[in-house]
Parts: sequence; structure tokens; C-alpha cells
Amino acid sequence: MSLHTLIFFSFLCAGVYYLTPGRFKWMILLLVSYFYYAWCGVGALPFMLLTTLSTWAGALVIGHIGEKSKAELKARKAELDAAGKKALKAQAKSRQRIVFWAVLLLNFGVLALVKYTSPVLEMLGRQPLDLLLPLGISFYTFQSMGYLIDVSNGKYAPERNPAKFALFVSFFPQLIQGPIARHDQLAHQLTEPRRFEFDSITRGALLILWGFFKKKVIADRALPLVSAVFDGHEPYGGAVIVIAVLFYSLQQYCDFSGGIDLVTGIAELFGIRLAPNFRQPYFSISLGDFWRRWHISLGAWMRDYVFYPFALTRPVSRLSKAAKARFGADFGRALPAALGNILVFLLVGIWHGLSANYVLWGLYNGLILAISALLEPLYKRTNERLGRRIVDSRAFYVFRILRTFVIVNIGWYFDRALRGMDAFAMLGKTLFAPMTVQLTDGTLLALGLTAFDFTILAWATLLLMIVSVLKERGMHVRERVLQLPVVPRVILLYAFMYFTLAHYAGAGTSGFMYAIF
Amino acid sequence: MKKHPNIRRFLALVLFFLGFALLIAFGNMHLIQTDTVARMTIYEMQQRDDIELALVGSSIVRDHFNAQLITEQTGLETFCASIPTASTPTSIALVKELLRTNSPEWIVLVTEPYNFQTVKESTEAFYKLAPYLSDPANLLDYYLRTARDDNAYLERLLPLRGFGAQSMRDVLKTVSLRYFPEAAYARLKPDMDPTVDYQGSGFLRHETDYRADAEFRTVIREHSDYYYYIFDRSKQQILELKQLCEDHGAKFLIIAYPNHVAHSLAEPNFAPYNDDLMRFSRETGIPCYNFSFAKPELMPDLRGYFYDLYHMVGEGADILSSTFCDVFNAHRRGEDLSDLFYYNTWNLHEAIDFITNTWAVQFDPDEEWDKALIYHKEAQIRALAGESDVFLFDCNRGMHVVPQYRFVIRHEDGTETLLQDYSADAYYTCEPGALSGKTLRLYARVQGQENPEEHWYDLVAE
Repeated sequence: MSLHTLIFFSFLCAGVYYLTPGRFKWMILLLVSYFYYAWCGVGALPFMLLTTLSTWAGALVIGHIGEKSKAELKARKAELDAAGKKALKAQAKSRQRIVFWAVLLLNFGVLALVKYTSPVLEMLGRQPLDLLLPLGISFYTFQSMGYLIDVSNGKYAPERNPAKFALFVSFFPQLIQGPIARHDQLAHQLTEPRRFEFDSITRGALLILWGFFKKKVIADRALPLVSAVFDGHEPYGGAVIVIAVLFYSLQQYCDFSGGIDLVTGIAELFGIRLAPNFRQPYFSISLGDFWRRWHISLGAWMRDYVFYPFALTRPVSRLSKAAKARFGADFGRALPAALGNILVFLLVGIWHGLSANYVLWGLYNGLILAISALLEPLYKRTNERLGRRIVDSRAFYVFRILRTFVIVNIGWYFDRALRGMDAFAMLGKTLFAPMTVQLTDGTLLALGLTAFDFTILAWATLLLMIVSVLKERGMHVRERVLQLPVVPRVILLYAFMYFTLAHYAGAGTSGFMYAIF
Repeated sequence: MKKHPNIRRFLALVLFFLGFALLIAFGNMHLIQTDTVARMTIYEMQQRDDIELALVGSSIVRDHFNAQLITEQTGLETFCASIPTASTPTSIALVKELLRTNSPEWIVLVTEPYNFQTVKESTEAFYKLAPYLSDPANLLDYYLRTARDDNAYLERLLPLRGFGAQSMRDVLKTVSLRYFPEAAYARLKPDMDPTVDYQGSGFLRHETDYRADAEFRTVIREHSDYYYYIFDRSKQQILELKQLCEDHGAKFLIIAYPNHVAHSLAEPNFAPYNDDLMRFSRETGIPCYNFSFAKPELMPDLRGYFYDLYHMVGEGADILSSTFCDVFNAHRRGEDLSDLFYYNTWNLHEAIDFITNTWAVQFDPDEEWDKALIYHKEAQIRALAGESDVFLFDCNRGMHVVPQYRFVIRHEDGTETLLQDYSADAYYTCEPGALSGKTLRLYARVQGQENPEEHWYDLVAE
């Protein structure tokens, strides 16, 4: 389904949704979600159904075992001593664990199967299989497994209605590229009957427009240059490569965050608020800060379901204690976080794809975060020596932003390169063979973009920057625009709509980058 | 209303989008690029009410038909109504616009395979014409007619996207050409291509010494699967155009552009177009003269008058216009002109007794063209085994022409080293890499001709 069709489809569905009586509204959402998914590929439906049913049933069984155990404990309260109670609890826990791991392995197994079978076969020199990669499989698998873990941890009770759970898994805007929602934040919004509110529609429409602008005016327009250089970097020197990396930063951010804006806007048409997935990441002052602002929902998922469970495991605690004894308290305290970061980013890298460049990208980020965690005491001491006047100054703040920007962009070499060796070759050229003459000899205009494209990109990026700065300063830009007096508001909206309509990249552009993950 | 804030806000939203629609309409008319000559043509056509003979079509009409000369030789006030890249839907819209202020006696549709073999109308032609159509009904019909065929509803609704102004200069040009076309043209003329001049009545004269010899040398026959033929819907639209003309008391005639012989030979798939057009004409009774089929006694060889692969200089346009007048006047007198045209492509190709151009390629097993090597089994086996480099020769020629080739190394000082003297062998083999980096030249001539016209083609061996 093209972007235009998706937007049209969403408004149409919103119309039907509000015309439907209250208690049936969520059913409409379920229906259109499955309709949308089937439209995108009927072959992917069984995968989603498998995840939905197995997770729903698994969580229900886990909940049932827990309840049954509690009831038994209550019933046999008098006859059981402490050891008996503990044994009963352990027995229930163990049965829950069996179900939990069965469902978890099944779902991640399916995800791994469709994502990694072909790359593994290719690595082994065999013919890759033509396996279907269902749209959004990563996102709904992560979302479902998050729910399973939460239910297993007793965070909330399992959903009893399979249709309502199916809606939580399949809510159509999210299927494209997330965000990965939590059941306790999203599910009740999906099933509560919502009244028509004009504000929701206008707010949603504005966000859709903003997402469309980011995706189609910036990301898709920048794409040809990025592809031209990264897919065949041999003729280009470091200077052109740096420009391609910067364009990739812009393209990737606008593609992904634009898509998320679009998804969030579509959800708002139905009165549903999704958690934010981006928070001006390029204003981050450290790599850790960056990853708390970029793809927030995946970061939070990894933090809650991988990082903490791993960092709090007994072996890691023991390692931490041993490190404290040998290398000092600071090192020992930071070690679990350092190891956790390496693990998390390695997993995220592998999630992107089973190729060397993604693994290197994950390791690069993980190692930098690990080193940062281990050197934290040194930073603190350095900052103390520099004094508050310097550390709190605007210049130092900008320096930290720029430093983070450079670190992130080095990572993008690995993320976008076709192979790990290409990333190293491009980095090498950036450092030792800049060939700056290519900036002025017409090479830039032979990379798929005309001078007019560069002009449009410059204006659009400037607008994006202004909005980002305002948001970073705490302004709710959308609300401010909607609260403007009617004449400036209409002029502003007309100008923005006209610019977007006139300059969005049309034919030959791509789908969402993250939809393939 | 106060009780129903949603209704009030809904109405405000409707108003908001109506305002935006007006803004878009404004943008579509003013914030776009404008083809100066197309605009001048439309403007002049809209101002005129004396047009008696209108030639309608693409840039071929604009470049190849001298309106003043035709007026002189036919006695009918002539106008070249053309939009570059136009196909049948644009011709229909253009004729409707013409008929708003004029009552021509004759309307001549000029076709050529590139644009008129297709149902789909290019957006480029649409963008050039649509903003200047004066009748909203015609505009709507034109939009729906074209968008229905290619599904580009949005693209055609928004010329400001596909054809949007890229600078303030574009905007100023469009605005001035829209409201003050004559003054704007006078202002723009000094900065325009000095080899062209809008002569009025839709005619653009090209005066350049450059000739497309080099381009024609590279008109290479390719074995594409694409066939140029006329779709049923295109035929239906031509019938609509005929009906439109008749409804307005105008006589309708089709003429087909004199496609360059080299092209005609290089693209054998043109044949269905030309033959289909003539068959359609015979079936429907629409008079049609195909200048690609013109015999030498009617029209001289125009090969020397092309400045690119498709368009002729002013001198060529005069020759073609004059020939057209001869045919047109004879047609008006009711004369039978069938003897002056070949009946079909077969007859044309049979009658061509010369080579138009030749070329050589170095064998590459991945290139489709090299399928020609299947006729040379031994060379093929050696080439595929990597035992030798193979160079293949070919030329565009008449059906019964037997070509001979001569292959040489061309040195910087203009001297040549003979590799293979004139012979019918259409390939040359050598040790792998023996000719790498050398400039090679292939000559071709017709076997048996006393004073053969020599053709040549240069390539650098890999």
C-alpha cells in the first residue's frame, strides 16, 4: 500500500470508526487492521495469527497457573509450612517458565527463521531461500513478547479476549515500523469507545502532514545521493563520502521519525496516543543520550527486557563483585552496564541484519557505551577540574552535541555500507583521501540530485532544524501552531502544505526503511 | 451552530480546503515553468479567427511545417498548432481550443511513431497546454481523458509539482508570458537560443549549421521486443477528432512525419506503426499521406537537414512544407496520389538501395545484440572460449543491399593500418587484447555500386 493510499485509507477508516456505535468501535479497528495487513500481503497473515494466538494463549496459561497457585496457597494456608509454600510457588513458577520459554522461543524462532535463514545459507555458500519477510514482524513480535514478559512478571493480568489481544498486536499504523507499545499503555486506548473530537483529527492530520514532509520531501529526495555513494563508493573521495554520510543521517532520521510521526498522527485520528519514539536525537550530548532519544520504544524494550535482566543475573553480579575487588568500586559498579550495553547493541545490530556491517555497527555502539560507562568516574573528575563555568557553558554544550554527532555518524558508515569492508574503506578514504576537488568539479551534481534538489533539501532541512530547536527548548510546536490566530495559522499551514505538495519526491522513491526490519 | 461546535469546525475545515484548492489553482497557473514557443503558439491561436488550415501535432509540426510558406502555396491561412511531445488527447484538446475562435476549412493531424503509437499522453505536453486552455469543460475533458489512460490523476492535477517553477526567474517568465506574451517574448528573445526564432503562426524556424551526422552514425539496430503500433483506443480518439472536425465543418486529413530512413531501418518495429496507420486510414476512409513512404520523385532525400535525430533545420522544413503543399493541393483537386507513396514498409525497404550508416561492436556475451554472432559459429566458439576478441559489423540498409566492410586501425595522424579489406565478412577476430586501446574504424559500402557512398564508424577496442 503506497503512502498516499495509507493516508487516504486511514482517514476513511477514521470516518467509519466514528460512525460506528461505541461498543463496536474496537471491532472496526481490528477489522481494518487485518484488512490492511491482508492488503499488504495475505501470505503474512498466518505469521501474525501464530504470534497473536500463541502469545495470547501462553499469557493466559501463565496467568492461570499463577492464579491457581495463589488459590491453592490460600486454600492450604493452614496445612503448609514456609518450605511447603515455597515449594508450591516454585512449582508454579517452573510451570510458568516452561510455557513462557516455549512461547518466547516459538515467536523469536519464527522471527529468526524468516529473517536469518537466507543470510545463513548465503554465508554457508548455499542458495538462499525465497522466504517471505512479513511486514512489521519484528515490531509485533517485540510488542507481543514484551506483553508476555510483563504478564509473566505479574505486572498485569493477561487479556482474556483473544480479539482484543489481536487488536493490540495488529493495530495497523504500528505495523509499518512500530513504535513498540506496551500493553498497559495501548490496549485500553484501543478498546475504549472514543467520541469524535475535532481536535484529535486536526492534531493527527497535522502530524501526518509533518511526517509526510519529513519522509517525502527530505528523506526520499536525499535517497539517490546516499544510494549512489554507499552502493558504489569506489570513485569517490572522503569529502563526497562525508557528504553522503551526512545525507544518510538526514535521510534515515527523516525516513524513520517521519514514518513514526505519520503512524502517531494516524493513531490520533482514532483518538489514540502512542508513546513518542524520537526526541530530537541529534541534540544529544552523549551516545547514551542519543540512544535514549532515538527509537525510544526499542531502547526501552531492550533496557527492560534484555539489559536489566542480563545485568542483574547472578553471574554478572559475581563478575561485578570480583571486578570491584580487583579494579576498584567504580569499575566493578560500571561493569554490568558496560557488558549489558555491548550485549544490547550486538543484539540490535543482529536484529538489523545478519551481516558484518550491522554486527560491527552494534559492536561499535556497544563498545563506546561500555567504555563511556567504565570511564564515567574519569569524566566526572575531568569536569570537576574544568569547573562549572566551562562545563555548564553553551559552548561546551554545543561541543558535546557535535562530538556526539560525529560519533553517531561514524557508526552510520557501518550501518549503511553494503559490507563491513566497504565501511572500513570509506572510513579510510574519509581520513586519508578526501579528494576535496570532487566538491567543486561537478561530482556532487552527478549523484542523482540536481542543484534544485539541493536547494529544496536545504530549505526543508532548515525548517526541520527550526522546529527541532523549538521542540528541544520545550515548545509544543504543533499546539502552538494550532493556537495561533486564524490568519497567521492559515497562512503558515497553506505555505507549509504548498511547499510539501510541490516538492515531495514522487515516482521512484522508496518505502519506509524500517519496514524491512 | 453554537450547540454544534463540530459542525462549525467542519465547515471551517471545508472552507480551509477550498482556500487551499484556490491556492493550488493559482500555483498551477503561475508557479510553473512555461515553454515559450508553446505559449506563444497557444496565445496566437487564441487571438486569431482567420485560420483556414491547421496542422496539429507535436514538435514535428512546430519545426517542420513553415506556416507562411504553406499559406503562400495553398492560398489558405495556415497555422501550426503544436505542443511538444503531444499525442492524440493533446491534439483533441488543441483542436477544441482552436475551434473556439476559428472555423478552419481543413484540420491536418500530423502523426509520428514516437508519440502517436501510444494511448498515453505525456505529462510534459499536458503541463504545457493545460494551464492555458480557456474552456474549463475542455480542460476537464483533457484531464480526465489523459489521466484515465495513465492513472496519473494526481500528477496531472498538480502541474506545480512535475512542472513547477525552480526559480524566481521561472515565475516571472510564466507570469509575464501569461499576461503579456508578446512583450514577454520580445524581452526573452535576446537570451533565447539564437538558432531558433518563433516566426508566427506556430512555426519555429531552426537555423543552425550543425547536422546530426554523428548521431545518425550511432543509430544502431537493436533487437528490442517493443513494437510501435497504434492502439485501438488511439484509433478511437482519432475517429473522435475526425468527428469533432466534421461537426465544425472542417475537413480532416492525416499525414505521417517522414521518419528518417536510418531510423526506419534501425527500428524494424516501426513497421507495424506505419502499416497499421495506413490500414486504419483505408478502413475508415480517412485520407492519410505517410511521408515516410514518399517516393524519391515526390520528395528528395532529407538526410542532410536533420539537426538531431528527429528534427530538421529551417531549410528541411521548407522542403517538407513544399512537398506537403504539392500533396495537399493535389488532394484538394481530388487527384489520386497513390503512385507517389510506397504501399507499405516492405515496399519501402525493398526500394532502398543504399546504406544509411554502419557500426561495429566488440563481442560481449552479455549483450543481446551479439546474438548476431550465432551466424558465425566458429567465431562464437572462439569468443566464448576467450581465445580471441571478436568485432561484429552491421549497417542499416535496404532489403536487397549486400554490404561490404573494411576494418582498419585509425592512428592519431589520420593514417590507417588495414586489418581487413572490403569483404562481405561481417566480423573480425584477433588475439585477445591485441587491439586494446586502439581506435578502430569500420567502413561500409554497397556491393556492386560503382561509386559507393562510404560510411564509417569509430570505436576504441577494450
